[in-house]
Amino acid sequence: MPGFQSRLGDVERWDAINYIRALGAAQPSSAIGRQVEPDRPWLIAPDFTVAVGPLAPGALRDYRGRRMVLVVLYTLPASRQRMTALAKSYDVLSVTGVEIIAVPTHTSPDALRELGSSSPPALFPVVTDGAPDVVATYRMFAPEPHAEFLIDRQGYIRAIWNGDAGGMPETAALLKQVEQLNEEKSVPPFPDDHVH
Amino acid sequence: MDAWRVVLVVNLALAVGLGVGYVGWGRRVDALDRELEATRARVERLERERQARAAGARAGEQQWEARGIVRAVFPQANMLVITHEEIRGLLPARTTSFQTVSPGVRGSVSVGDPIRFSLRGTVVDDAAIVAITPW
Repeated sequence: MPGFQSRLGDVERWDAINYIRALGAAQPSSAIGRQVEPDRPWLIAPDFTVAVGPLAPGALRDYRGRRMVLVVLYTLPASRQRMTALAKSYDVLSVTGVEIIAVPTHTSPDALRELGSSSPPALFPVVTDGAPDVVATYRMFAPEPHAEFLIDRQGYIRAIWNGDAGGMPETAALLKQVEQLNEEKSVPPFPDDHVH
Repeated sequence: MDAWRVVLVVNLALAVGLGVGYVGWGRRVDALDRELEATRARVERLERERQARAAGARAGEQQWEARGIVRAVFPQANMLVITHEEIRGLLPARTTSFQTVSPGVRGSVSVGDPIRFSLRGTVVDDAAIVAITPW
């Protein structure tokens, strides 16, 4: 981007490129529905830092090759019931190879407390630092206050549930999609999300 | 013997010697690495046992120091669920439930609190929290 050389630094230029890249992916992402399309991974899940309190932060890409991830953008109090349902199914999902990463759509240093007070308590990772950036990026794919993204082991978004928290899939329906991913014959390569 | 033949034989001998030496010493270095790691683990274990004994533990018990965030509190079961960093010699970084040795140890910790805690026991199954301080 030579035209911006005098106005933008290196980091800003790459931010702009990444933003344009995400915008480009957002438009066709509406084709991704609530059901996994077998053997058709194409939308790379944008990477983000998973920072839970003062613990050493990890990244979404750390799960590649190991576990599927259900990224949940939630808004309280509307999502409370759904988060409780997810907390209840966490054991089952965990056994089937799914990790849940919850991202609050509001900035709150007390995100863990807010979810921990439910019964059963939510024990999955809750992003407490940097959530606004994650929300801004993933909202390009699903703009509603509550949205869930099923990401396969290779790092591709394979299903999106977007809308009212009450309209999210029951555990059995979610497990069906997970099973579908587990049964896929062809394993796509890890996405090359390095744009430099 | 021609000079070029002498050079060739010497070079071949050197190449073979280097190859054999590399393989032999490479294996030796690997073995030494493993031995060093095992010795380090033994020393760390002895240090944890020493700490535990100094704090009044029974013989064979160790003490581990760890940091984490409280995710759930079950007062009746005297149990805390903690998302913690790696606890060297005991557990990788993950979320684990731990018993506290007494309700007093738990104090007023609540969900979301970052804490430093000491565990005492012989193995992961009987390791219990003996002290908690804010992180």
